[in-house]
Amino acid sequence: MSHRPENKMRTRLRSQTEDNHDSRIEAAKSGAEWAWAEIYEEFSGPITGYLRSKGAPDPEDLSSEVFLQVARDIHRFDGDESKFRSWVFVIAHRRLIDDRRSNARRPDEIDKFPDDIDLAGGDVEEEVMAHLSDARMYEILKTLTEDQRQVLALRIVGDLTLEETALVMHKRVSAVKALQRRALGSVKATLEGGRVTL
Amino acid sequence: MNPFLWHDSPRMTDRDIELLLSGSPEASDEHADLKWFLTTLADQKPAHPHDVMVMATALASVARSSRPGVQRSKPRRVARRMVALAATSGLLLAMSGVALAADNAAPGDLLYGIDRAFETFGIGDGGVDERIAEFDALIARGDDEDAFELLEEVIETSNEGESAKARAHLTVVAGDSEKRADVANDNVAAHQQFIDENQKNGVGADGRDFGQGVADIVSERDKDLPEQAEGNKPATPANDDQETGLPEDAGPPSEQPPQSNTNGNQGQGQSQDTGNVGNGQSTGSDNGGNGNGSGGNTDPGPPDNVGKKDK
Repeated sequence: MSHRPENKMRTRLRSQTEDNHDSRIEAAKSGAEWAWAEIYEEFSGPITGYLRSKGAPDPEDLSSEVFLQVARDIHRFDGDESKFRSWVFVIAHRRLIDDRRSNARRPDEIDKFPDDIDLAGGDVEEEVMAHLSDARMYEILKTLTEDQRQVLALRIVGDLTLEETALVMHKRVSAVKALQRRALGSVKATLEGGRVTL
Repeated sequence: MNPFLWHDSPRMTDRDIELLLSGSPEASDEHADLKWFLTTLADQKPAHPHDVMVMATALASVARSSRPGVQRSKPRRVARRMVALAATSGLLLAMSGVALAADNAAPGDLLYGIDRAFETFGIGDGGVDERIAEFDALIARGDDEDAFELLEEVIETSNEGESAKARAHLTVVAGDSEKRADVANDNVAAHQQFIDENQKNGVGADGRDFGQGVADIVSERDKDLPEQAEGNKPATPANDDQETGLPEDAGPPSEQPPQSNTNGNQGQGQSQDTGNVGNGQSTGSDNGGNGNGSGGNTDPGPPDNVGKKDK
């Protein structure tokens, strides 16, 4: 039951191809399409998922704005691939904050789970179950603090390592560890207490 | 399941947590409910992005035109709209032309591939072609807003084939803009080198302003060139650059009018919010993300060593 089978692989590949990645960033800076195709392909899912899990009303749209900003500002980025991942998520986080402000929403509000799940086509029953499952997950997510949600979103949806997450959140690794421990503890307690119902 | 408060339990080690968070199958089954939660959370990630090549073209264009000293108005505005369209409109392009073109890495081939693909749809005459001609005319006149509105309307209201054709045209327009940007870029390169050296020699913020001034001058010049609708003439721009009087001995910025250019630096008279991107001389100490216009500096703040490039 691995929700991220690619994770270990990615970590391994990452160290093996560190040089390639650095040159990928350089290529992206100079506007090479192959580099942007790779970057978009790799980050699109995590970024959009991150924004969705943080309650963005239109994660796809916001995600495209994030990429746009990444493209605009990449010439100012200086660092390796791991820092690049963190940097992209910093931008995503800022865009999210801006978006919330312009929507006059409370900063830590998750008032709905995404409603863009396509119920048409495919196995309807399965889709409905998935929908309910999502709804329940979001209900539990709402019981966490903003920082706890942030850690889980970055680590689980954003595919970031502990260190990368710490970089994005501007916290020490030990603080992130404590946050994720508390987050999981709280989720576990909620699940066992049966306090989330639909 | 542990009936006691789980977070008081000493059994959850850091390793356990890492295994859970990384989705490892080695994570203990004791935490099956947590696994469900984390898996569901992980599933919020869309599996496959669409329109990868369209996005790549647009993003590459943005990156190219955002480099310091590069002409920065049109390509980026075009690309910006492309990104928005790629994100919101139909998938036809992704499924057809781009898939075909993706085999060829060269940008020219990509555009060629997209173009070719649409011939195979047997896309009809009339409506869309006429609209595209109107779009070109509007762009040539500099009336970008109306032009994009027109094309967006076509994209939203037409049938799939026609909509795809309109989007392809947008891609081609962006491609042309990139060529123009590249030419401008070449012209700027020599000056940029001079500026860079100045900075290394400690000219500092003034040198930056001066660099921006140079970029803006070239940018202004490029704007006056024939628009792409009148044919691609990338060779014409400004090989007579010298007339801008960017002198070898131009030390401090007072000789040229960098002040006025610097003031106009926010968006350069365009209505798009593409300002605030340039070489960051006024925001040099932020961390690169810089919030784009609506005040992105209020977040908890990333660490100082992320993405800081300014020297």
